[in-house]
Amino acid sequence: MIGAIAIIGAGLGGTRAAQTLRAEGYDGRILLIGDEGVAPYDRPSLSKAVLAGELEHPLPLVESGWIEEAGVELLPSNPVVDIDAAEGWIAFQRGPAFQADRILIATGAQARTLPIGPSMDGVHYLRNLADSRSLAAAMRSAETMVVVGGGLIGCEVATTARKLGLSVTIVEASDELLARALGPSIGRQCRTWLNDVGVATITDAAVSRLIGPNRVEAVELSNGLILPADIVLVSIGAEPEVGLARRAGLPCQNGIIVDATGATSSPRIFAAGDAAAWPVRNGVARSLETYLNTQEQAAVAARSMLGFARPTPQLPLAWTEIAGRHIQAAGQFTSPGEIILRNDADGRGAISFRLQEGRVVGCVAIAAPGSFAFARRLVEAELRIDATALADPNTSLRDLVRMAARGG
Amino acid sequence: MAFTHICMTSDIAVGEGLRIEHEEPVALFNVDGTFLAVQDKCTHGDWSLAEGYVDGDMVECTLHMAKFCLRTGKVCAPPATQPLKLYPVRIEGNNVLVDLSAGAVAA
Ligand SMILES: Cc1cc2nc3c(=O)[nH]c(=O)nc-3n(C[C@H](O)[C@H](O)[C@H](O)COP(=O)(O)OP(=O)(O)OC[C@H]3O[C@@H](n4cnc5c(N)ncnc54)[C@H](O)[C@@H]3O)c2cc1C
Ligand code: FES
Repeated sequence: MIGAIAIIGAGLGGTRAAQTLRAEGYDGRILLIGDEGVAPYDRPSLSKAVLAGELEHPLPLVESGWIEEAGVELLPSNPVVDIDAAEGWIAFQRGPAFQADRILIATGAQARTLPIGPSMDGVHYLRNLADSRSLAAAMRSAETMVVVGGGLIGCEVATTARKLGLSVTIVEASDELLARALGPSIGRQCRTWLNDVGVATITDAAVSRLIGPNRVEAVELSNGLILPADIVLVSIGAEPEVGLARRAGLPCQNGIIVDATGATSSPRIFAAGDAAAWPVRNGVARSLETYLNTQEQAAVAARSMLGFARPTPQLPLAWTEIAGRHIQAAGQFTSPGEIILRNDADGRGAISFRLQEGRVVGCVAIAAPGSFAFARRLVEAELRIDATALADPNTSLRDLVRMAARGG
Repeated sequence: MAFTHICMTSDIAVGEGLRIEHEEPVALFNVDGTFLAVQDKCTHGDWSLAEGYVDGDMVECTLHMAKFCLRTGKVCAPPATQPLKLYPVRIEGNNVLVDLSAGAVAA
């Protein structure tokens, strides 16, 4: 009998875990503990519709009333400060400690900070609703913006900044945007589209100095260039939030180390989402920082807590919106291999597949969500297929998915 | 009740959908020979479900992979939280008719 389950972090992973626990019939206590002071919400909109002002509030993660009906005890603003792995005690910032039979750590990630000082007004990070609100307010009265780091969040925010009419420059230290997330060739295409909507991009350059004194006015780059900036967004990646886990003695590397069921080295503690270094199919265990992987990990870890462990190594599955295009990616895409480009028959979108030893191991769809639904299933099945057939728009992806289902 | 002729049964293959333009667009699906109509706009965002991925009697939104039951409109997978409206469908011979004014969320 499991008496009580504590979920630390009331973001996507924590909330989906609570839903899964109830869906699986667990009727004991569930504490869902957050520190943002708001009900669980849809984070991806923070760099997109919410930042653009198109959506006033991010969508809630659960139907209104669900938390109460399901009897989940949501503590939206009482951060956990310590956990004791041996006895399951959880210490809060305020109030008495709580003893749980199972603990899920779903504390997400923190924006990586700029390694140069001093801290200055006008320098923003984007991870939570409060960040998005303050960035949105600043963007409304700014004319120039520098985005440090050309990853997913940087490119999304730059897109939004153009919608709002700001003059925006992305500064990327490596030689291409989005190289880590989507690979350099997709990165190059996105850079062109960003340039087309008026985003300036500078690669191979780091920010070496913020020019103030109190409020940022400009940034200086490693190549000596000075860019005026009313606001600076630092989007140079995220660090899994592993502070609690470390202090509790759990091994961490690229996140809290878990097996493919979400179990840590402590029998009562599990982890999921951005905080967890989860095993990846054909890859290294790491924090994947995607919505869909977080959802799956949370569901798997919740079942493991109840004793129904089913190892689920992750197939990375991401989406983003850059320069007005929907981009979706599945599987391994950044390592080298044979890349097959397949244009949609309607000429609007395209998918790049990566083949390894004749099998489909990754794909990236650009403006082709309908085809991606099929393409990602080919990646899931690691379908063995001839490159010419795959590239031919007359080969139906639907038929290939059927073939894969038959074990093709 | 005002049923409108939409298409012939042979116009939509099994597992495929058709978007019907209307004030509130409707998506009509062929689920193993049964025709089912639901609101076309995903309840998670502004995205058409007609080109969604049909798996049994569920449709998966192609944008963020929320799933809905086409028979009940209920959410089967997040990120959506709100159900879809259902529309009455009538088959007359080989004709598919939908009452585009009678969309409603199932009780
Ligand atoms: C701006 C932005 C845009 C994104 N866009 C996309 C996208 O388009 N597509 C995509 O696939 N992914 C996107 N992501 C990634 C996706 O949102 C994350 O992968 C997902 O939210 C991870 O869920 P999580 O539950 O692990 O962490 P989070 O959602 O970050 O939730 C963790 C929660 O735990 C809280 N917490 C931390 N420590 C404690 C503590 N000690 N006590 C209590 N609470 C604590 C945090 O404050 C937070 O609320 C985006 C992320 C961001 C930040
Ligand atoms: S728009 Fe359909 S799942 Fe997001």
